[in-house]
Formats: sequence, C-alpha cells, structure tokens
Amino acid sequence: MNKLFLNKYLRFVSVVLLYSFFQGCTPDEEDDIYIQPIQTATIQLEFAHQVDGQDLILNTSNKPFTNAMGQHYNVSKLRYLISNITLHQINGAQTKLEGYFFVDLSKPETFNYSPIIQIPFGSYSGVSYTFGFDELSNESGKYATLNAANWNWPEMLGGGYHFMQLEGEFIDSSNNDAPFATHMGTARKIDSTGTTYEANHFTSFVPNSNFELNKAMTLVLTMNINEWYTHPINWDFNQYGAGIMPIYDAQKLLNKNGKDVFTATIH
Amino acid sequence: MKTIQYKIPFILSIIGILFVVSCVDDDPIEPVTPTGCDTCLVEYNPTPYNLKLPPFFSVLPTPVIPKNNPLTVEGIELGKKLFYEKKLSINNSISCSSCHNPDYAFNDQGVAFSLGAMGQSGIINAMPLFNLIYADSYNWNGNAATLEEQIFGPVKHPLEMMESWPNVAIKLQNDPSYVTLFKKAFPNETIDSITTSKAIAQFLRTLVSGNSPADNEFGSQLGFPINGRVLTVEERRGFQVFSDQEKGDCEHCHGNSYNPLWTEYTFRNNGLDLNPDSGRAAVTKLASDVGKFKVPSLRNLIYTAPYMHDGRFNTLEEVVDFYDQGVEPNSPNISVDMFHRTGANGHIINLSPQDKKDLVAFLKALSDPSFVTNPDYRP
Repeated sequence: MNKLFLNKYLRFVSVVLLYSFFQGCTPDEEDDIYIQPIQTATIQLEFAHQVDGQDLILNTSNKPFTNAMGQHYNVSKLRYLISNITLHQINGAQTKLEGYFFVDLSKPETFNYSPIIQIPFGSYSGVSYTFGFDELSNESGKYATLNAANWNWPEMLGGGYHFMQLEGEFIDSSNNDAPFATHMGTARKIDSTGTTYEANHFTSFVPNSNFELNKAMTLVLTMNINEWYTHPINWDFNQYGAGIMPIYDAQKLLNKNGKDVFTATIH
Repeated sequence: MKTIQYKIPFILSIIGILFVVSCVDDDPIEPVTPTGCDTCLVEYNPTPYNLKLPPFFSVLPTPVIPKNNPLTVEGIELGKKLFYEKKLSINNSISCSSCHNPDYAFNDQGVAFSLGAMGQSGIINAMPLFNLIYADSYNWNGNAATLEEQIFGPVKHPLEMMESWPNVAIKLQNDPSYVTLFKKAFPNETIDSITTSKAIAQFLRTLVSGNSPADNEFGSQLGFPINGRVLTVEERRGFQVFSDQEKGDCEHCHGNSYNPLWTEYTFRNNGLDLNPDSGRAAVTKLASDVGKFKVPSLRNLIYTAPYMHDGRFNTLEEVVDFYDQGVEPNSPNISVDMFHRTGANGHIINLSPQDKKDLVAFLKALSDPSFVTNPDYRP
C-alpha cells in the first residue's frame, strides 16, 4: 500500500464520517410526533391550628379556650401524626404524598415549611388523610425520628406509635387547675374474653377541599382543637383528663370525634 | 560540545556538595528553638475517623456531625489530651475530667456540686457525658446549642475553671507537644478557644455507651447482635412497671425499648418544688419555662449518683419514692406526665414495695460497665 493510496483512503473515510455525523443531527421526520407534556404545578402543604376561630397559642397563663361542655382550658403541647395525604382528581387519578407528617407545634419547621410537591394540573375533588398510621404502617420501632421523639405507644397497650399528644390545663369541677393529656393511639380492650388491641387510626375526606390547579398553590389543613371534644359526643375533661391511654372508651371516643377536626383552604 | 559534556558533571558535583553541606549540623552558628524543630516537619494531613455506633442504635436517626468540625484521629487525640489538661484552669489545678470522671460515666463521683479551681462549690450537678452526639442542646437548661459552644463555658466560669481563654491559649502555645498536636489536627496553626473547643468536642463525640443489659435485651429482640447478658426476670418486671401507664409511666419522658438514649432531650418540670429554680427560663426568659430542666438520660445510673439537677437524691430508691408519692402537683409548669389519673391525687402512683424494687433493678440494668472501663477514653 503506497502513501498516496492511504492518504486518499483516509480522506474518504473522514468525509463519510462527517456526513453521517451531521445527518444524525438533523431532525428525523419520525421523531416529529409531538407529545403533550403533563403540565404540573407546585403545591405547598401547611398545617394550621385554632380553637373555634381563635388562634391556638401555647402556654397562655389564663384559660382562653372553652370546650363544648363549657370547660375552660389552655394548651401547652400539641404533637400529632398524619399519613396517606392524598389529592383526588375528578378523573379518578390520585396523588399520594409519600411518608408521614409529624407536626409539633413547638417546632415551626414541622408545619410552616412543609415540603413542596409537584402535582398535575386539573380539577381536584379534594383531599383525604389518615390520622395516625394505618395498621400496616403502625409498626413498633420502625421510624427512627419517631423513636428519638419518644413517640412510641407502649407495647402493653398494643404498640406502634402515638397518633396525638394534646396537653394542657383545664378548670375542673372543683374550680381548680387540673392537667389533661389527650393522648391517642391503639385502643386496648380488656373484657371477659381477654385482651385485644384495636387499630385506632381513621381516614377522612376533608369537606369542601375541592380546587382547580392551574398554578402554584398552597393547601392549608387547619385543625380545630375543639372538634376533638365534640361532634358527635361532648368530651368531659373531668372524666378524661390525664392518664387516658389505657382507657378503651376514651380512645374510641377520640376516633369518633376526630373525623372532622380538619378543614382545608387552598390559595 | 565537549565543554558542555564536562560542565554537566561539574555542576552536579557542586549541587551534591551543597546538599551534603546543608545536612551538616550547624547548631553552633544558627541555634534553632525547640518549637521550630519539633513542628517544622509536621504536616496537616488528618485521618478521617469513622465513629462506630452500636448496631442497635440504628433504631435512631443517624447523628449529624458538624461540617465545620469533622472527626479525625488527630483531632480526637488532641481533644482527649485537652480534656485531661489542667492548664485549662486558672491555677492549673483542675481539668474537665476533675468533674467528669471516666470511672463514673464522666460524672463527678458522688457529689451534688463539684468544686472549682479554688475549691469553691458549684450550684448545679455535673452531668455525665455519653451519647452527646445525639443531643440538640447541652447543660441542664440547654444554654449551649452545640458541644463546641458548651466547652467555652466552664473554662471561664467563676465557679469552675476561672481561666481566660487567651491565657489558656498562651499556656498551650508554650507547650511544644500541643503545638505539634494542633498543627496535625487543624489546617491553621492557631491555638485558641475555637480550635481547643473543637478538639474537645471531637473527643466527646466519641463517648458512646450502648452495651448495657437493657441494650442487649431490646437489641436482641430486634435481631441485632449483642455482647453481654440480657435482663433478669426481676429487671424485666421492672421494665413493665416503667412502661405501665398506671404505674411508672416513665416512658413519656425517658423513652422505651426503641429509644436507647433513654431521654428525648426535652425540658420538663418534674414537680420537685413548689417554687422551683428558673431552669430553662434562664435561657428563654419565658414564664412557661420556669422549673423546666433537660430530661436526663437514665443510662449509667449506677455511676452517676446523686440524682436530679441539684443532686438532692442519693439513691435510686429515693428517686422512685419521690415519683411515687412526693411530686409537688402545684409546681408551676409541671409536666402533665407527672399525673397518672384525672383528679386531685392523680400525681400519686402508689407502687407496691415489689414494684419499686423491680423498677430500681431495671434502672440499674441501663448501666454499661464497658463504657466506664473503655481504655480509649482514658489518657
């Protein structure tokens, strides 16, 4: 093979390669089918808290709130657990927010700066949530952050985790300050047949939570504390004040009363 | 050409001679200070240190080590030396270890209040030191947000070491061994309050206690490997008293079998006094924090008597008796968890003598003998 032949051969190959390269860059007609991208917008989730329209302020020196039984109280602590928050589209599609939300009213980062989620444009019929963990998720010791927060529900009461700790003081029937600790979790039932444990979470669809998503929005779930203590049954702090965790009837009553504690606003 | 060929060996020979001459001891001409000699060859090239945590501790969130003070072998070595260094005190009489004795889980042995550099008494019980890497504030009232910040305090405190940080820095700078150790541990050679506290904080973050009979009991239940005995029958009964909402109900403040820290590091008033000390309120200035103190871990209790922030109880039996009958229900901001039932006597538990005995046995089983004998923590 002489040098001249090799030189010509290489030039030819280079031209072919360059042609192929630029051909590859031109749009191929078959690729021109336009796929409509799913339009999405961010939705931010926030939790807010009030008592029949009053802002919930912790550790007031007086007893600014009044429950349905006319008992005056204040609140020193509120922590609760929410999971399975689901956004329902009218077309049946659902977007479920992964994981759980552990709200602690003493830590604004747990309710003011909630994660921003990207969801599809469209008409939404509303929002549902599970208060606490469902049976599958309520597994003792499974969540490191909750373990470090002593959020576990005692094994002898069925294990898993607390769903809520709502604490404060009320003015009791003797007109004295008395503590209450509305703690919620698995309901232990002891009767003649033995001991059983009933899952005590509930799932609710928030009323009037429909919205049209065509831009970034904020979904605010507002808990009205007094709804834990009424509808359908009024709660008496003198009966269920401190130490209610082992009391089956108190746990079941929270389950009944709690289903309407949240309302939603979307803006 | 030939000239160049001859020149090259000649130049090399000259360089060689200069090199050899430079190695000759020239002490008589240029005396070199000991500091210069000891440190001139020391380089900052630290070895990252991987902190080993007990397998069972994976039930907890992964602890966060500050990015501006990563653990290194050199930093920890320096921190340990400084922890046992009496030059940190005004008259070189006490070190951190004087009040935080490794034989007693880094607590002061058997005293309510430790003595300062001049023998003066403190006003609050020295806290034991372990698993600090998991805490989010330090001291009984939480006035230090980080370990580094905590370490600033005792050196200059008038009831503790009474020294100034500039003086500490001078004393350490005059010690060649520290010049070397600081140079190895930190990128700049400054010896000051910042590098000193960073080094001690690194050492303190290595103090991990996780090998008690209770750790073995609860760790093995979750399938983690263990290294030692589990709970006895009596101790297990004690854990039932501890967990029972109608008996001890210790869980709300001190945790459970899934929280080997045995605290949640919150601040609470456990009802010691009708007119309590300011506690957390000294930091937050909130009336609602008066009487609240950091909930201490229950780990290593057999080494850390006396108990409470003021060391008022000498034995665990006294502590249990207090929670059983002695809680002051009208103490301001008292924790709701001090009340076990609704009603005027909701703060009285009425444990049986057997319950109390079992509970104390369980509390003692939260102690970790391997922690107080660990040679890595000693000078």
